[in-house]
Amino acid sequence: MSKFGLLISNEWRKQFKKKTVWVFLILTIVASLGFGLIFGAIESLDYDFEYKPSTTFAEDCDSEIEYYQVALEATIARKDSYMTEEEYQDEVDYFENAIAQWTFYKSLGIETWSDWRFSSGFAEELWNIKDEVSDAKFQEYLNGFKSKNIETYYRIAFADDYAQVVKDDRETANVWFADYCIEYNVIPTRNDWRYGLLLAASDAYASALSLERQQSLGFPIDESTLQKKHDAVTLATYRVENDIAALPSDSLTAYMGTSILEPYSGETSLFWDISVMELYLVSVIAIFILVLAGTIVANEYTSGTIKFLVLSPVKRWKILAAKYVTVLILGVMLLAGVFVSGLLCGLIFNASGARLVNVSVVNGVVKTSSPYLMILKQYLLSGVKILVIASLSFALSSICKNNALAIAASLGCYYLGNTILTIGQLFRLDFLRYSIFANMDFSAVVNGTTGFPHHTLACAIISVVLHMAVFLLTAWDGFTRREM
Amino acid sequence: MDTILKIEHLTKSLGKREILHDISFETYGGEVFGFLGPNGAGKTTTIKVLVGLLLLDQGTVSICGYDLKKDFENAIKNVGGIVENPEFYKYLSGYENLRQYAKIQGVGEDRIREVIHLVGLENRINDKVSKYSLGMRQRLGVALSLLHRPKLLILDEPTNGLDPAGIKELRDILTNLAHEENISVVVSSHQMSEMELMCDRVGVIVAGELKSVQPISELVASVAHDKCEKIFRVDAPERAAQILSENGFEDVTVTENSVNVLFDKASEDEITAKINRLLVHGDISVFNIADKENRRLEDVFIELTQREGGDQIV
Ligand SMILES: Nc1ncnc2c1ncn2[C@@H]1O[C@H](COP(=O)(O)OP(=O)(O)OP(=O)(O)O)[C@@H](O)[C@H]1O
Ligand SMILES: [Mg+2]
Repeated sequence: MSKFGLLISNEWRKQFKKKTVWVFLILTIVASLGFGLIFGAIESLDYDFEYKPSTTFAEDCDSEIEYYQVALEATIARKDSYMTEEEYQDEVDYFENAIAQWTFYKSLGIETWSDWRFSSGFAEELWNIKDEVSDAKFQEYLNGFKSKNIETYYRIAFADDYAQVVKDDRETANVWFADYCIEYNVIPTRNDWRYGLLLAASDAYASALSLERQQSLGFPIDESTLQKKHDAVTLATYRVENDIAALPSDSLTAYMGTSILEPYSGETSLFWDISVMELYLVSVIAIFILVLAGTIVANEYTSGTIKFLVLSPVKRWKILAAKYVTVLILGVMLLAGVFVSGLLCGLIFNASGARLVNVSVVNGVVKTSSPYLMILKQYLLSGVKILVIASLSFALSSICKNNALAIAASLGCYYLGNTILTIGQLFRLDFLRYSIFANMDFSAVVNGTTGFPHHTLACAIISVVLHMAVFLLTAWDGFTRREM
Repeated sequence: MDTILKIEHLTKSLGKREILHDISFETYGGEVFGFLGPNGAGKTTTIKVLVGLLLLDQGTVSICGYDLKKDFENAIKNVGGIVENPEFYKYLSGYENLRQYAKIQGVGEDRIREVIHLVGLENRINDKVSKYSLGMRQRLGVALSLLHRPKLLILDEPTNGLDPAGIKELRDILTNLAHEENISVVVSSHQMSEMELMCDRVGVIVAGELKSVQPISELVASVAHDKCEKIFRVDAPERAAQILSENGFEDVTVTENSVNVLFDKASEDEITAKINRLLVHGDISVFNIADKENRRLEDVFIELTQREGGDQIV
């Protein structure tokens, strides 16, 4: 083995002979597995849970009718107390109408409240048009209702849109939506993931139409916005046509609200939900890595063992580099451990989610990508933050020979960085945009949540690279030049 | 005898203070060199420079012919040593500690066993260092310094914490190493008696200056044997002392029942007789005349190192 390899293996042995290191490693594994298992269990329980009312829909209709009956009788009994005949009549009409309406609902043969024909407003629509259409037509609708015919629903619900001879953008989009739902038999309820998805798509459809019309009239428009609207529609129809209920990216978007990914557009998958939740454990690992980086050099000074270490024919910078690499390896191992625990727990609760592929549409072209890479990217982004602060910790412990200081300072920077930024912004200290706190969280920079306007990723990367260079040079300088 | 360590005009400042002033000496293979000096004299500082823990300001140090400044790696390959207390990874066993160092030095298993045997730690080598006594740590330190077969072995106060048997063992180990394996051993200490038994030559350092470098026997002789002290047991010590000082004797001390007189060893008998006559003439009863015990080595050391400085640490 090379000298450098030997140095690393020495560091490795030293770390793994310490009880504290073992305790932390085991805690990390227990925490990440436990976290995933508990989260998965709770979520799965939720899926199984269904509210079972003790009464049937018909019984509920009866009690509604009874209620209005009582109210009606009370009104009749208090007839004299009304100022005018008209007011009295209005009141009586209202109650009679309500009684008739609930009687009608009861006659429709609905079994539960959650029947889509009731929750979507189908029954109400039917009641409303009762007197407006011919009896034959109404009978046809009624039959459609009873046979749970989806087309009937959309025809009634979007009747106005269908009826327009010259349609505006919204009406065109609605007709497109209704036709599409009829074609793919989309049940108008949130329980059918396609319904919400297509509703959102119809908004995009309308916006696209409006943009195109502006364009044809010679107004300047944002081409990329138009393209995005088209892409949203393409993605939605692609998913409906290929029956892709859940996208792994939706799990990420739903939990993290990051615009690195497309907006949340449908169902999440428990498999990926768990993996995303595990990302929160990264800040726990950060403690360990920061402590390790802050002690691995300083401990040699406090224990006095540095004397033997430097009294050897090995260049000092190599000793230092071996320590840094050891921290890096341990950090990556811990991150990988959390990542893998997330996947394992996901497999336990929702194995099918593991096969999900992320679908996106870019410039009209449907693309599939691996969600594993996507979540790995998230881990890497969080890893950058740890790496930066660990380097700071490393540098401090190398120049101050004091682990307490290095640990305190780096934990402070890691956990209070955002607070410092917020306070700085209160005092309008715009130069803080160049500080490490504003730049080390790449996802915040991309999302524009750092609080500084015009903060670009390129600027953040340059800042981070410069800071890292300063930290590592300081560590190197402190360790190699210093007299012991 | 080949020169192993050669120091020329070494000067070193720490902060604003100049700790070492123009130190020059050589050590040879096959000898144990004692580096003697009181607290704060600069022994540790010198050793730190030799092992590369401190940089030298001025002067040159060469080890086995390699310049410490220009050719650090080659020079330091030939050095093994302990600076101040030997410190180890307390959570590792003695063996693990040796292994850590052996790996960097490119030393095999056999050699580890060899040095463990040499310092007599075989029974306890697998215990955690946190459970070692100070003496055991000293032994482990020596073992560790010897791992890579250095030509120059530097030990900073290695007898610190060793029991008499341990000191004797260490002495035997070191003399053996020097005489059998032709290593140059440098041992710092402020204990003359140890030095006398262990060292072939001694360099005395006081307040950062090297006073002398000479064989131990010469050193002891040079200070101890130019004067002698006699004890006169008398009935009236006070009066006796007065008579003697009136007659030109300067180093006179009075005790309860005697006067002690220090004078040149050269004319010992004549002066003893003269003092006796003076006392008798002065009507003082002299009961007994005795040699004060040979002046102890520690006194020599104190005389050597603090002749000018008073008793304050410099
Ligand atoms: N880091 C330092 N900065 C400034 N002065 C120092 C430093 N280290 C030691 N000294 C001073 O250097 C002088 C020599 O110290 P050194 O440790 O070499 O003495 P020593 O001969 O080893 O003494 P001892 O027998 O007590 O071990 C002392 O006066 C000490 O105060
Ligand atoms: Mg010392």
